[in-house]
Amino acid sequence: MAQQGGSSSSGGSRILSGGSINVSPMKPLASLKVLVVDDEPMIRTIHKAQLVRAGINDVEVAANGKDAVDLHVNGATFDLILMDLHMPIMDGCQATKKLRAMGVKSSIVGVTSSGGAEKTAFLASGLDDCVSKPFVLQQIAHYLKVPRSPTNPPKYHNP
Amino acid sequence: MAAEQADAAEKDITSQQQAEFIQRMKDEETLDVNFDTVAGLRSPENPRFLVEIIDTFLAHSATVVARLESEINQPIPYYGDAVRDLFQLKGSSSSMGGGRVAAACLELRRACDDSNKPRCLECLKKVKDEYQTLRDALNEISRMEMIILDQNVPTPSSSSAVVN
Repeated sequence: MAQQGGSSSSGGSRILSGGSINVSPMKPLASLKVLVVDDEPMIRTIHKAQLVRAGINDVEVAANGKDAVDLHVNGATFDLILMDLHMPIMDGCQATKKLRAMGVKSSIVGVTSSGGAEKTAFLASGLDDCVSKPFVLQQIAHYLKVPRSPTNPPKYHNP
Repeated sequence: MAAEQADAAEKDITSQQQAEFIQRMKDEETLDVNFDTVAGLRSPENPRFLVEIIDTFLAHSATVVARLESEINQPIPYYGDAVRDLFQLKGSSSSMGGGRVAAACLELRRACDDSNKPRCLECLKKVKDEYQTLRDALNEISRMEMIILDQNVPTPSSSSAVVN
C-alpha cells in the first residue's frame, strides 16, 4: 500500500502526513490480554487452557460479573472479554451494560448455552458477538486477530 | 531391554484401549465431539490436565445434581433455584461432551418453567440417569489416563541418590 507524503509510526499505528490515523494493526497473540468471566471453575479452566494453547499467555479470570466490573474499576484493561450469561451476584447482561456505560471499548463476546429471547437480550446489552458454550477457538478467532478499533461501536449495542 | 519393550507395549495397549473406550462412548452418544476439545488441551506442560478437569467437573456437578434433587423434591419445588442449577449443569456437561445430560437438563428446565412438578420429577430422574452414565464414562477415562501418565513418569537416575 503506497504511502502518501511522510509518515511516522507510533504504538503500531501509522500517522500519515495528512493527519489521518490508520486503524491499529492486529496485535501479536502473545501481547493480547483476555478476561474470562464464568462462575464455573471448570469452564474458566477450559477457556483459559484454550487461549493459552492459542498463544495468549495473559489470561485473567473472574467468577461473576461484579468481579469483572471491579477489575475495570481498578484500572485493568483487556483486548477481549469472554462473558458468561448466567452468573450469581451480577450476570453477564448486567455486567456488559455496566462495562459499556463505563466506557469500556474492549471486544466483549458472550459465551452461553442459552438461546432465543435470552440470547437476543444478551446481545443487545453491548456484546460484539455471542457464541455457544462450549466454544471452539475458531468462533472467536476474529476477535483475537483484530481487536476492535476505538471508533467502532459494539456490534449489537442499542444505547 | 525386554522389560522396557514389554512396558512400552503395555503403554501402547492402554492408550489404544482408552481411545477405543472413548470411541465406544461416542458411538453410544454418552460423549460427543466436545469431549475431544477438552482432551485436546492436554500438553507436555500440563499432562494431568484431563484428569484434573474431569475431577473438577465430577466434584462440582455432583453437588449441583444433589441440589437439584433437593429443590425439585420440595413440597412446592424451588423452580427458580432449580433453573439456575440447570444452567450450570447444562453448560458444564456440554463442555465435557455430555450432550445427553445437557438435553435432559433442557427438558427439566421446560418442566420447571411450566411449574409442572410431576413432569419435573420424571425429568429429574432422566437427568440423574444420564449424569450417572456420563460420570461412569469419565471416571473410566480418568482411570485409564492415570495409568498412562504413571507409565510415562521417568524414573530418577541412580546417580541422583548419591549422598555427599
